[in-house]
Amino acid sequence: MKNSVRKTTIMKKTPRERRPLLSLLAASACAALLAACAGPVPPDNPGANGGTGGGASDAAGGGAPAAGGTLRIASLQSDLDALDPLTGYSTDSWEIIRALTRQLVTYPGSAKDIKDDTTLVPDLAKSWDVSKDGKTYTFHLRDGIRYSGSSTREIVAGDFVYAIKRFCDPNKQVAAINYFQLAFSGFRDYCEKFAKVPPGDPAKSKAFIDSHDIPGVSAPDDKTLVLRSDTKNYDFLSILSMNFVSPLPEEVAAKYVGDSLEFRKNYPSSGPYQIASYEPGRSLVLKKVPGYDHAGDPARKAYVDEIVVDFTTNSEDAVVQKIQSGDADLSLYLDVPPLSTIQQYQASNSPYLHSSDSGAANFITINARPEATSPGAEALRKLKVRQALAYAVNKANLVQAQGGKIAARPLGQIITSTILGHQDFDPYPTPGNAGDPEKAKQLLAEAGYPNGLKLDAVYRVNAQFETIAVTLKADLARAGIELNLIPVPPAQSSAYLQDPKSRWDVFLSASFAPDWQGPSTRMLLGGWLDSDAAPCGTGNVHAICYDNPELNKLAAKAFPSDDPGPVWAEADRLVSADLPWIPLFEKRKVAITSDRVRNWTWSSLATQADITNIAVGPAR
Amino acid sequence: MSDLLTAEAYAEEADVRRFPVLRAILAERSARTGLILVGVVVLAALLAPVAAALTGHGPDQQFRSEALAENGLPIGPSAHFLLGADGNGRDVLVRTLYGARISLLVGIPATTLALVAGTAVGLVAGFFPGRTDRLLSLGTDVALSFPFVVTALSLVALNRGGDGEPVVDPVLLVVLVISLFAWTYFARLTRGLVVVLRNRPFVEAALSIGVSRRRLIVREILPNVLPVVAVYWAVQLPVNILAEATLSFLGVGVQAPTASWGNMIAEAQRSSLYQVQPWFLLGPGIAMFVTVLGFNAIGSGIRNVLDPQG
Repeated sequence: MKNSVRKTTIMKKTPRERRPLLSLLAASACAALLAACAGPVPPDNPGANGGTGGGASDAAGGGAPAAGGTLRIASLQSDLDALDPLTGYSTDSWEIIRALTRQLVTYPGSAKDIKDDTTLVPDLAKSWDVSKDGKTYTFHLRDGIRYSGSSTREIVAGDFVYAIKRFCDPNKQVAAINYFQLAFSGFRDYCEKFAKVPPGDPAKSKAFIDSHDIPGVSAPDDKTLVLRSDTKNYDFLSILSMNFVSPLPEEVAAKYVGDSLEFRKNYPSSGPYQIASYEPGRSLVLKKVPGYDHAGDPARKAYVDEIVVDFTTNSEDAVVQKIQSGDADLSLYLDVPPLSTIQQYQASNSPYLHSSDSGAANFITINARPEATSPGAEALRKLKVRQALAYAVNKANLVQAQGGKIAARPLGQIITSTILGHQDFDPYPTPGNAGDPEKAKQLLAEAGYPNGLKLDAVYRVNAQFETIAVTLKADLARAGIELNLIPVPPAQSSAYLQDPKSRWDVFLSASFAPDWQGPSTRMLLGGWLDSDAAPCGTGNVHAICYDNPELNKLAAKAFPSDDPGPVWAEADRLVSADLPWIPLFEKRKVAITSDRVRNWTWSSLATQADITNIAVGPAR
Repeated sequence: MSDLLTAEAYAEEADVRRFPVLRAILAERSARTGLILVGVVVLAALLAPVAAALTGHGPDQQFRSEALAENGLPIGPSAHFLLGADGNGRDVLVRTLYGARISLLVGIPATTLALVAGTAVGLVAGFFPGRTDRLLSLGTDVALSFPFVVTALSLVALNRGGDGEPVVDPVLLVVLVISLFAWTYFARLTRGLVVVLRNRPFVEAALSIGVSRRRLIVREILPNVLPVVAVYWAVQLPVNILAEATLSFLGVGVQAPTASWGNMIAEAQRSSLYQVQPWFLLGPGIAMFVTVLGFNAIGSGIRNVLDPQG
């Protein structure tokens, strides 16, 4: 079954990746499972980074990695879901886009843990000034940094202005517009006007972009970019670290509609790699930009000369076999390696099994859009029914199905453990996290469903999500909740959930990964769930359509705060008890690599390997 | 005297023609082996609920604490789980037995439906030369030219109404899709036989005494075609059982959590769990092998008896 997943829409970055985060339990898991967990923490010689050398004899992950070689990636999917920085919003597309684009600021990667990659460093901006009121940022760009590929001119501040003006192009809207509605002065007005431009004609979009300005986004000269907000935002720089705010040369980008094959083949790269060849279904070859200016890029060491993504391995089994046999070094679109593979790596105490807390989580979303009037959807509007669902779920079983402690831990709240404002609690605890069917039945009876409830349950078809679906079906049946499973191919699931006519009450395969680690609480509590930022309608993630004025007030209080943690914690307690979705478990990211991989690095943004900082050496 | 002899001789010959065919088939070694194997499979399918009751394991019931390790890996064969468990803690033996039901439930109706439709088309095409024959034969060729998997995948994908619910029961749809492809083989076979029969003297004789064409086809030609078609039914059945497994393997056939051999093999393969629990793969794999072998042996046995030269 192949599928080129497409998760554009406002879907967020998670669909594909999944690996929970186990946080503290990890420590004990690691102890028990040996080395596996901490990941190749620099073994013997903790060398520096440096991009030279030829020996290639460092230990797996430590030492001074040798530059050169080819990093080979086996992709489970037959194509990338996105490559345009405007629309890429999945952890896997972000992994590749990181090699092809640069931003104003970024995260440099961490050898130890995804959640440790929280230090923002200058990227294309060499420095910036913040106004006293905290609302205006003035960025000073580096000199002499050029595009590669379809353009080779120098990157200027106007390229950022153009990229941001593209955000609300009716032909292809930026994937996470909710961040930007609140970020730039005048952005909302600009977008309302842009929405009136008829889609389908790139020339009309170009004319609009050329003739309209966003008051909060300007470039006084080629090296200076000024971004202004109506309010102070403590996470403003973090928002700019996402690939949406990448410079694009208008003379190239304006020629193509959206993320087309033509665009991908004529990609104007601002990163250390450029596209050498691209054949969907076969391979993507990235070559290092000749004479890349390493001094001007503190975040991406770009050790390898070439990155090859192989799109021909379309089963989990085939992907891990390629890695085990040394025909590939990394995987792409593989949420979690098969259990048996993890177990093999653990048993041999392999340094090529990496696992890290990631703050990602899985949950059950509920179809709350007003058009949903099925008996199941109506029932789920009652808090007691949602509580019954929360009590009926057996989280221990789901954690086990994910691979046990190395891979997941039960979750009962919205905010996960690597995110600002997290305070561990579960408003609906059950003994051993194994569910409480009796309590669930009682709540259902009180809500008016003494004979149980039947729900149409959509799930994404792949090995993992099918396991979750059949496990939930078995466990919820004990509480009198019958799930009518409706499988949907991954490539169609976003569209299916977005279509108001689709029939579904619950979506069993919902997941998210933090857009960045640490202060990213805005993504959920100030984004998906905040009806000011994400009103119900097209683009509302998974049709969550949650509307809680109390939460909106708390979010508005948190954004400009100097100490937003406690505010978010309060919001989390409020919303978690109200169950806009049913939390299931938090995932750790688990990855396996070949024995050629050196200098293992996690990326906060991609929530997995940082291919711009990994090196390769001879097989051991 | 001579009359009596003749009558006896005829009666004897008739005897040899009727019952001994069955007896001859039973005496044929490969047919006998096949019947035994198929009998075992049918018995297994029928007795699946008994096995479920004896073990206390329902086909979709999960035994996560007993049959899975803490890290989610299934246990191998043991006293309680004779063939071990799958990735969700379900009994592989019980699921394999229930899988036999799906295989037969899909395979037999699909093949029979194909036989009926294909034979009807073949009879008409063979009996009416000229335009009718050309049209029907062309239709058969066109149907044959469709690639099975690709067409089946799109048909099954189309089986989702605007509300997301399947328009037709997935099992029924798989039956229809398979017979949609299998009828062509019966049509070609039948047409070839009828073309030969049409010019035989007994057909001409019947026509000359004014027998209606419909009666001629049904009463004279069909009985001559049926034995061969029946043999072909046994040959086509295992092919169609594999087709069901293929569709389920590709995720468009029988839906989870219902057990089918194709589903089980796909799950074992996708999750790589066959590496730690080989019986997850071997259980349904061997069952499928036995079934296909059994029906093929029956087919070849019957052919040996009915058509020794062939």
